Amino acid sequence: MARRFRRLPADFVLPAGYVAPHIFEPASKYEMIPPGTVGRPANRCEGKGTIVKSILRLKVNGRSREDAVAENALLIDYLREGVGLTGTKQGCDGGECGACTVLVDGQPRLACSTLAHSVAGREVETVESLSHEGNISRLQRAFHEQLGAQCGFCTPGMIMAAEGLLRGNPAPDREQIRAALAGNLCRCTGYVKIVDAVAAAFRTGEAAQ
Amino acid sequence: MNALPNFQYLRPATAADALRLRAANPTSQYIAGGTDLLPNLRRGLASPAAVIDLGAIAELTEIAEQGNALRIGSGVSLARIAAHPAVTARLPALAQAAASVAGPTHRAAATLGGNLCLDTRCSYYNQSEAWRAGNNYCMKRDGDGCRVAKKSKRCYAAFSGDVAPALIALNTEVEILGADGSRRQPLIELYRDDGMQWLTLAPGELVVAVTVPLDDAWRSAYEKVRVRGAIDFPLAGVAVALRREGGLLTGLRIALTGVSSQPLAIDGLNALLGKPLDAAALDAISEQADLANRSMKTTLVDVLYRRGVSLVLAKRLTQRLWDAVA
Repeated sequence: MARRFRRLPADFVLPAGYVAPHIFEPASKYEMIPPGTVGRPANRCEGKGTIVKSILRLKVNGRSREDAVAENALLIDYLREGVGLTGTKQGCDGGECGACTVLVDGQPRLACSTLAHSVAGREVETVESLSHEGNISRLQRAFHEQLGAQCGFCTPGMIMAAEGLLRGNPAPDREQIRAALAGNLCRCTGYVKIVDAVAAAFRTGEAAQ
Repeated sequence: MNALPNFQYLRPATAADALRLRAANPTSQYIAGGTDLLPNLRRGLASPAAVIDLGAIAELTEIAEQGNALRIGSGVSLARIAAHPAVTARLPALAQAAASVAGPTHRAAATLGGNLCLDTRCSYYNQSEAWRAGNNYCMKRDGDGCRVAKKSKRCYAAFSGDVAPALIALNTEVEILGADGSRRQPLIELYRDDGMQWLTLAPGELVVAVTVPLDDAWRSAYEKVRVRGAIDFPLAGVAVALRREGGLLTGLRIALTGVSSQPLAIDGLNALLGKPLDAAALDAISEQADLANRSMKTTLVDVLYRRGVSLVLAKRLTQRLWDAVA
């Protein structure tokens, strides 16, 4: 195969007056269209209402909180931007990938398809709640040891969905694990190691008891 | 923190309050589980001035056996329906349909009423703002004309709820609360064949409950075909309820979803009653289901496939239920 690049000699200088060819088209080629001139309806993002903030009282990871939160805020935005818990990941934004799974009163819930104010007075747990004093939980340890995480983006959602499963069903079989994680997408592991990790986690729990 | 259009969040404690709030805010919308509405709002498919959360209304979350019928409140989650002993034992089509909606986390939040009133879907509609702007929008939101049927004056977005066909096959009545009080009607009359106005509800009306007859002489089943097995809307879904007495077919109801802007009850099945279910009867079922079918190119999957697979499912489920009784 022909080499496509050659090393330039050490004394190479660009010829005088050399202008680099435009690989990209100049930005001036595109005219900027002021918003609202095409078919796009004006003020789409603003909606018809106004920003209304009200007090939201709930428990996040065991701590009672009281925040002024916009009434149209999604739970994921409240957790990530309001509380600063960025462990919960924002994946597809449409409830298709499960990366934003958190526990609400112990039940898995998609934080991207939940309004923050709709969980007022309830207890929200994110992946940050699982580790204590620097010690990761048995489920997190199992994901680490069984290579259940590769890029790691789906992992917080996977772990919270699995945590929800293990609380209700301490000894699930592989089919039950797969059913509980059916709403969580992973594009790296091929799922086998994730199911292994959850299975290993509950076995660890048995050994500890 | 401004992913959604600005709106006011209202959380009434009773259905009557919800109706009052809805009447006071003409551009408001009801929200229950939010698993369908919130992604849609994020894509700019609606911009309500207020959303009215039905999640705190206790009266909507009851399941109760009333005589030989089961009354299910519209606020009951699909996970609860799918696991309810009376549903799993006596209304298998409903249990199967509820269990096949989206993923486990959705089903824990999503409600019966939300799935019955599910927004119709189309590959030109359920897209981001940028995508729709690039395709010049469509008549269901912001644009003019249908992108699926170019010369059409109406919208062909497909009704994609799973629970409605099962309930229609089970001969369900729906209870609707409006300004003039509550009324009951057959569930099929909740729908009409228009992708933009797919519900016959008047503005502000609220689906309160459904009443499903518990008749053990009828066997039922629901099955759907989807692209992604774990979470997906149906490309086509079929519910069958069948009654067999000895070697004779004495009752048959078939309903389709995903192949029209409304769930469809198949007509013309009465001619098959009083006879055994043979190959000719199955062909007749297939023919009637084909006549009713209104699949349009609203999904990435081919129309002919969706049409074909709904006929196959109708025949297969009917045969399976027929054999199961014997």
